[in-house]
Amino acid sequence: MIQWFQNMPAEWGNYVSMLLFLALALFVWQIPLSKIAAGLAAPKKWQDIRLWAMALIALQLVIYAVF
Amino acid sequence: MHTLDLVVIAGYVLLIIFVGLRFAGRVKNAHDFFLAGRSLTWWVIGLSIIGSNIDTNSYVGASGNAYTIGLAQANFEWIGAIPAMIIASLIFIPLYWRAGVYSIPEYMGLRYNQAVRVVTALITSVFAVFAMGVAMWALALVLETYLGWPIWLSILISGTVVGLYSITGGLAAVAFTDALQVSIMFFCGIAIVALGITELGGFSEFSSTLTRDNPDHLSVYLPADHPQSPWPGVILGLGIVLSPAYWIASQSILQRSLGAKSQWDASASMMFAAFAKTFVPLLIIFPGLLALVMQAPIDDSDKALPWIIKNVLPPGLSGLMFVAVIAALQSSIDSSINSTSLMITRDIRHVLLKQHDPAQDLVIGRWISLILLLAAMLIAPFISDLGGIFVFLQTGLSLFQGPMLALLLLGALSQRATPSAGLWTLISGVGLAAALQFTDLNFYYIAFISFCYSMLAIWSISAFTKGLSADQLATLTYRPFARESNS
Repeated sequence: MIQWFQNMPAEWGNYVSMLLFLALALFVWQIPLSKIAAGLAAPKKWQDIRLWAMALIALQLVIYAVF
Repeated sequence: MHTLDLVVIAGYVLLIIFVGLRFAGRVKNAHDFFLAGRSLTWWVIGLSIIGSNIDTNSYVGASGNAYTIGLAQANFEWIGAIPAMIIASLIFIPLYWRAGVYSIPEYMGLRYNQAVRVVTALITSVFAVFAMGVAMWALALVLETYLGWPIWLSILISGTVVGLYSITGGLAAVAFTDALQVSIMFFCGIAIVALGITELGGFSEFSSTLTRDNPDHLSVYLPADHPQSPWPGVILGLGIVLSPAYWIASQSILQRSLGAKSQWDASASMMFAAFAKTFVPLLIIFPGLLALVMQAPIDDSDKALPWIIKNVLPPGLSGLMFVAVIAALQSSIDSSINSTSLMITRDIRHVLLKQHDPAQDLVIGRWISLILLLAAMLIAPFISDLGGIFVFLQTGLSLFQGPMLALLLLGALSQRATPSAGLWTLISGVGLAAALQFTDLNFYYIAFISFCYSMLAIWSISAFTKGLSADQLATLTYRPFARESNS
């Protein structure tokens, strides 16, 4: 398997990374807010850490698309 | 060194001691000392996490590597950190928080058994002592280079400063001084970027000059047959194994999140740290690239950062940058002291000494912190004699990070893993990784293979060994999609 990987061009690294980040975004969005904001009586929009994660993932997608 | 630089350095040392000692009076018991009395807020913890994460290797070594291989070095800050930090924030930190543990080995003890707890604490502690020795030695080298102090004097002074606030003030002092230190690092990093780009006539000039002679230096991935950074190895070994093993299992990183004032603060702290982490390449990668574009006359890539500090920054700012390098080293040492002290005090002493007195944890924790600091100071002068100590540490980490990650993943996300499976997988997984060190496989691939083996081993052995009861598993496994009553 390692040999198979070694025959693939470096740009594939960018594509694989972007796919991983997209899969992570899908997974994160599936986690219920109640599990994330446990302990907060009335969580405000900015306290939804899933949104922070989405912004982070978007930033990473830009980085791996550009470089 | 310019007088203004010396004033800046003296001011920094006094400020750090003052801030650190202010927390000493608040430490009343072991809970305050090791977990800051669970009072820390998310942004302080987030900055502190980055402070603990950026060490000597990051600051000096990463700049040097960026000089040699370019932007590919930044993978340690991006694919090699961000996904794992997001997962740690949303899954593992809430789990540890709800389990009410002080440490990751303590969680392993609850989820598996006390033998697993002691073995993981022991392995982590031994490597932490060596890592502290390396950090102390590197700090002394920096002081010797810039101030001309003898190595022994540099070790004595830096050890005294770190010891003063970390032993008296505990985790709160460590976290707040780390936050201050990281702010200084970012300020200096942005100053280097701004001044460097300005001197070169803009970013487009910088990038065209860089890629003219080094076409791969602005590519985040290098070819698959690259000896140092093959892209499949980076994704499989670093992204999928080493990075999650670090971000969800490193006691020195996660301890401050366990000291958060709420579960939300604990989770938010790691996500905030991930944002900061995204911009860390500006601090540690860009100086290496800048030195290359500016055709720095250096014979060793590790001198890229010192050259930039000396030739790009004006007096005062170069003193502050020097402070940032010291800060990076100090924040790693202080975190290691506190977390290793915790593991020895609770995870090893509490299990091995049946007659232990928990009320003595604060006193014993402080004594162990002092002993750890002295041990690191004693080891430090001999680090250069060992030659391949960095390689030794990396190899040592690859021995157990694959099995540890497998234990945590299946332990936290599945109810299937049993205590016996955990213990035998830990032992056999470390054995397999040790055997693979004798092959010519890259370090990344060894980590990946030992991780895959460990996942299969736990899954298989669990099929015919006895697991924990459903009640015990309820608080020790994370099931975000389960019904409220089951979680």
